[in-house]
Amino acid sequence: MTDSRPAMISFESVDVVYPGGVRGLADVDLRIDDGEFIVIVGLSGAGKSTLLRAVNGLVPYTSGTLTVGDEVVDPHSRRRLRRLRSRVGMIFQSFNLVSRISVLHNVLVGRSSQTPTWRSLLGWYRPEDREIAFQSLERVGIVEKAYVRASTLSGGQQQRVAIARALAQDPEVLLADEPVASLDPPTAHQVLQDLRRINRELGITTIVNLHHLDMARRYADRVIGMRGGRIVFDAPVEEADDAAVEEIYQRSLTADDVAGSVDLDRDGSDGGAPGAQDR
Amino acid sequence: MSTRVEERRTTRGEPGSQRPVRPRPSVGSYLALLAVAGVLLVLFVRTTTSTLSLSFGLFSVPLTVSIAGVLVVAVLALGWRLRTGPLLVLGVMAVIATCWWAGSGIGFTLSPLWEDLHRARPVVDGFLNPNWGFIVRVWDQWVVTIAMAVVATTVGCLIGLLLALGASPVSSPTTWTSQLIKAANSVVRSIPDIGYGLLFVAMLGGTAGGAGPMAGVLALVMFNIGIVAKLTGETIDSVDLGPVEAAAASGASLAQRNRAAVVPQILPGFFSYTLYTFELNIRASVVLGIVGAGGVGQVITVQLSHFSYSNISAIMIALVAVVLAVDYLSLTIRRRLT
Amino acid sequence: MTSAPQSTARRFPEDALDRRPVRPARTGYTVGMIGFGILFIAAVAATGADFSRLVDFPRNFVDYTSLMTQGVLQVPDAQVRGYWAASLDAMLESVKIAWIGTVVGALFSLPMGFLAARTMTPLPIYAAVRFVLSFIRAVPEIIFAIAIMLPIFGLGPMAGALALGISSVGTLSKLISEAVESVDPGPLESARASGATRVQVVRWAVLPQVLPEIIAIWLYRFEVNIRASAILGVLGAGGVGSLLSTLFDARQWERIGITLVVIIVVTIVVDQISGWIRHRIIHGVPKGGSADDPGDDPGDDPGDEAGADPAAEPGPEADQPTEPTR
Repeated sequence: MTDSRPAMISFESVDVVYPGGVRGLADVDLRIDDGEFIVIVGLSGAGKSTLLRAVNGLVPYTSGTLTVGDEVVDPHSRRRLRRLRSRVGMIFQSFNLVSRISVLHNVLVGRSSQTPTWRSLLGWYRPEDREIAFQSLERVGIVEKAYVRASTLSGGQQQRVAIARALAQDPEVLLADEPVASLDPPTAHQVLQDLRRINRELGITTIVNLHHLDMARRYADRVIGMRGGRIVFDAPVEEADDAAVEEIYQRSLTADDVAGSVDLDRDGSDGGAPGAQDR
Repeated sequence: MSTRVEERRTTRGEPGSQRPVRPRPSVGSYLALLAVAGVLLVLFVRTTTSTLSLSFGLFSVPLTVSIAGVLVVAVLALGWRLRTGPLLVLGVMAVIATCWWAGSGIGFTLSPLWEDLHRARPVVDGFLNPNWGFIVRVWDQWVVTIAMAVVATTVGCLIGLLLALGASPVSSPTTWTSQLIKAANSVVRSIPDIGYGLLFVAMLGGTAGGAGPMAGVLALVMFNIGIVAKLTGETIDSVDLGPVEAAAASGASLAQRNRAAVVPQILPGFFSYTLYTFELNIRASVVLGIVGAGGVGQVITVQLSHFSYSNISAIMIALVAVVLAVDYLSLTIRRRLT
Repeated sequence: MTSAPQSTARRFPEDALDRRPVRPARTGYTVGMIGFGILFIAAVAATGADFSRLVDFPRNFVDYTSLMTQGVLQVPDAQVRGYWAASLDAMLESVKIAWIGTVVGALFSLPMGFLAARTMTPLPIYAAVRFVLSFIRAVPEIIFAIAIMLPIFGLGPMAGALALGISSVGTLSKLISEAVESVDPGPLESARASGATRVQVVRWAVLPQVLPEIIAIWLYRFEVNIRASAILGVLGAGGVGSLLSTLFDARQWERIGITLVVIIVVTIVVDQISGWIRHRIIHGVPKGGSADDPGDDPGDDPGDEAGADPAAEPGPEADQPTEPTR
């Protein structure tokens, strides 16, 4: 990850102003290299979600330049947006699976951009697309549920299906918007481990929004702190000490910020307060 | 019980001193309402056509006017007593006024119910002695009726689904198309089935010209499009937007997004509406037959002109049975779907 | 993740493939689809529809539509204004018929609705009322008109109004009973627990919860009845249906066009008003004022009919009752 290579994603004084006049991002400059695993922290409303959604054009940015790969994001061209989005996978807090169809078909939604429309309409996906969907499910270890209705899965399983859906796109970038906020702590750690593993194995640049600091510190290569639509902290994870974090949050840390730590296979330095939060 | 109230008084402070005063609507608004009531009463007196009247010694008031007047005054008094908001009272008075307008417009009367009840005698006699054999004699018309309903439901509901997708802002390409298709849907929906029946019979030639069923199917299709597009459109408005956003984020086109994320969510509702329309179609085909659009309705028209009420009775009993059967069938199918 | 099926064997050992589930059989689905296809084709054949007629249809359609458009667009001299006035009168008569029918139906449906709610009524009464209601709902309103109302009241709007009234009772009571059954049981229980009688429970625990929904159901039925009253008109029960059938008999396409435009405009206007009132009753007044406002002041709120966000509200069904069956 040296500066000699072109950046995977670069923000150059990007602003986002919502139609209501609310400012989502203010003058953001950011450079993300290929293969990085970045965690964005900040209070809700700090602009984390806006930053993520600007990358794939779900939220159009209003000024500045935003580049993904070698292509400038153009929020006004539907065709170019589709092409961009096919290269950027996204994972959501509420999983956003279609509950009434099978897991496999949910994953196949990720193949949409590579599939002719008539095939999608009839539901006749090509064998190679099915193969990719299966491989994605295998990568997140949930292939045995392929023909099960998505609604019957648990939250953690649903989020893994959502990851498989994003992987089926064969993406260069993976965006995860609060991917574990609806999960209990052990499941949350598993999902983050999956994301981290996929980042290492496939080298997909990954940006994750997180609420909990300990998770950010545990999994990130680099931590970005946001406040009021601006980036107020950006450093390798080693530098994200308590002082830096209090600076991001503009207040001292509370139990809510660091809780949710359950020892799985890691060192468990936070000394479990299991079940101290989330339900 | 009431004696205990004394004992329960709290000792702290003057009883009830902290209780809030019940809000009272402003006197001004009720004076305005009183004025409205006065205008209504004058209107009632001026426009009455009633011949019956109540006599109060010195003067007499038409019966309908007194009923309506008492109602208006009662509403006003009750509203004041219960401290109802003036808007509600105004609404009730508006309802009474509308009833007056509609009732006097169509010559509302119930007196035939006791004066002319005997005239229903031959009809009721005929209805009580249904000619059962007649049901079987016109079985081919039954087949046509149900076949028309099947075809029209299938075609109409599929078109309706497409229009619904176009009409909802969730699944429409632009807000502009959504508004346009919504407007078109309301136009389609505002013409009653019989209007379409008359229209297509006139354009194609009716039963006499041998095109009855064709006209009937087309009329039912239009009728179904209106219903299904509206009901399904509302279902689409309330789908979970998460999967739609996820599909968009993975680069799906509008059609792919609708197919993958919207249609699966609305499918159970859509099937219910389809089955519901099927029932409606069987009922509607009676009406369409009367204007010459084929099916069992045309048998009813013929029998009606012969005053053979026992034959009509048989058909209607069969119709009710068919509707109930379809109703039951669709209930079971719907249970299995959800 | 380069997309190539051949790479499977290389990247995954055999046993990994074994974990893939077998695709479940879809015979039921396939058989169902084929069965429906056959049914559809059979139905097309059974209607005996003469498809050769469709060849002429486009030309006829264009011809007649242009006649109707000419009728609508022609210069409104005295005679043409008379046509418009006659159509409007007829349509308003239909609205009146529908209103009276709805009011009659509404008056009867309130007690019937409570009697047909399982939570309010002992089983024998409930079963009997339900049976009567489903019978009424199965009979098309036109049959009430022919069988009962025309002989007694003679050809006229009153017969149509009462026929609509009777047939409205069926659906209205059904929908009201569903609204009553889906009432939040909490207040009900607490009222019962404090020793309230059945009537007191209905008055203080049930009615306040369901009244907005019931009013919305009544208004919805009014919209349905406007269309139904046109149907009865064809039988001679007055209103725009009578006018339409005379015009079609005489094939006066210009006047037909005028009448259709009047029907469309009046229906849409009434729908919008009624939808706006329903929306306000269910979702409350935007800010300030009373929540229940069946006031008749129209106001223009295009597109409001859709009922913005039904899922978020406690009574989504009532906003747009779908008139479900049984």
